[in-house]
Amino acid sequence: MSIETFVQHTIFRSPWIHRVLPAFTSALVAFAIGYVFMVTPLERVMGAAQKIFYFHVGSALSAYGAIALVFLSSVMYLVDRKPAWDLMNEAASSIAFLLCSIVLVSGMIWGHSAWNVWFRWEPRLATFLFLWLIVLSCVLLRSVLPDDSRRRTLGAVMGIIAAVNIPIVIFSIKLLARNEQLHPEVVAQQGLQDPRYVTGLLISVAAVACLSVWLFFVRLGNAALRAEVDAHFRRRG
Amino acid sequence: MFSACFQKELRLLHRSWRTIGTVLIFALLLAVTASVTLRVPGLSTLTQRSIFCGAYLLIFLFSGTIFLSASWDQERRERAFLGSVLAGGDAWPPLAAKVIVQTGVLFFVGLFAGFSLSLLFPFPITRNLPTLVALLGIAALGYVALGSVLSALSSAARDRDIVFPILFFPLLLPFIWALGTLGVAALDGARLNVADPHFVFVVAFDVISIALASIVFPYVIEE
Repeated sequence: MSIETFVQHTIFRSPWIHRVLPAFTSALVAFAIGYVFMVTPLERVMGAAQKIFYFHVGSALSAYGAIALVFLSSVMYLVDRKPAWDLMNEAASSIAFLLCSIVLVSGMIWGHSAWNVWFRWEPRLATFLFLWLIVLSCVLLRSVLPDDSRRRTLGAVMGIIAAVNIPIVIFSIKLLARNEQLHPEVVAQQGLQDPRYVTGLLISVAAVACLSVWLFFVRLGNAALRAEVDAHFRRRG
Repeated sequence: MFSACFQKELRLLHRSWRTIGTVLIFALLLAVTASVTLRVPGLSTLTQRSIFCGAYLLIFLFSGTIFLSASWDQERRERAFLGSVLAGGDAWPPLAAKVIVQTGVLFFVGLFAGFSLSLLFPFPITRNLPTLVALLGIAALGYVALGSVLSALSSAARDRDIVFPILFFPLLLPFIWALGTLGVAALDGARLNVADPHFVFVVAFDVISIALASIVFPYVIEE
């Protein structure tokens, strides 16, 4: 599929992506915010700061999804060399970077209210710091490579290297002593006793996931448009 | 093919003695700087061990980065890789030859940096030298396998000298973390234990780095 076909038929002309997804996402995000702040009860120890949890978890799960998409699109580009995979790779990297940043910042805000410091070498915070740096390097590489097949191929190679290293990062954190593991394991330790907590979490995870998909398509549209403009100027010499 | 690539790497190494000399001087300067800035009287042996190990890893990391970046630059400048590419065939012989030779160089740089820091800090490392040397060898292998691919990858970029560490360091952080723990234990006299999760992690990182490098290297040299 050429870039032009991909842009015309997949992104700009699809009513699902262009109208239904933004409307549905906006409604779901508004509902999630309303539910989390007005329906879920205030947690006894953490108070209002606990509300971060709902969007923090959703962002983390979506970030893993975006990184998986970076890996998939990188492999597919190296296999069949279609520019559409490269555009997906570019868009997914940007969204993964945004989501990792949200997880890192929201984790730090939560950490400040729980531990009175913005950052500590707590395993999960360290994991997302490493992930954030790895995804940042993928995004940065694309901006410093010349805009030709080199950028597409080397961007895909870096995407694979980065994605393969992410399980390594996650595993390495488990090497730390148990007394250094301060991150709350809410779901594993059955901390969500009130069903409203569970409902709030599920709604917010769905809302962040939908928002990520929408942003991914917006970013994909931008990347495709830029590629089309570049191709146009190249044709005109 | 492997023999030809290996000979090419050795010749390239022979011509790059200035680069290796520069890296050794850089490592020495870092060892002096670390000794001046991090030496605090009255610290416990455990704290001294941790500081020594951290300083040594930093020296190894920075010197190795400079060496890998400079050696790929020379490769490009002298078009040394062109022969391997034009010869066709598998991509693993050029990669294997490069990794073996560069691991050797980095191992030597690591030894030099270790002894320099040990003399200047001062902190004795002869107590458990075989373990420390084995650890250095394992560290150099994983470092070079991943670093060779990333230095080749970043050589196409603008500002490649800055881009290479930005691509490389985040991937190395867990590796360095585990190496630091193993290094502090080795300085305390502990032997390498195959049941130690940190050791398993470092070896696994080496294996994954080599496998990953051999998979993606053909795509990198293609560009």
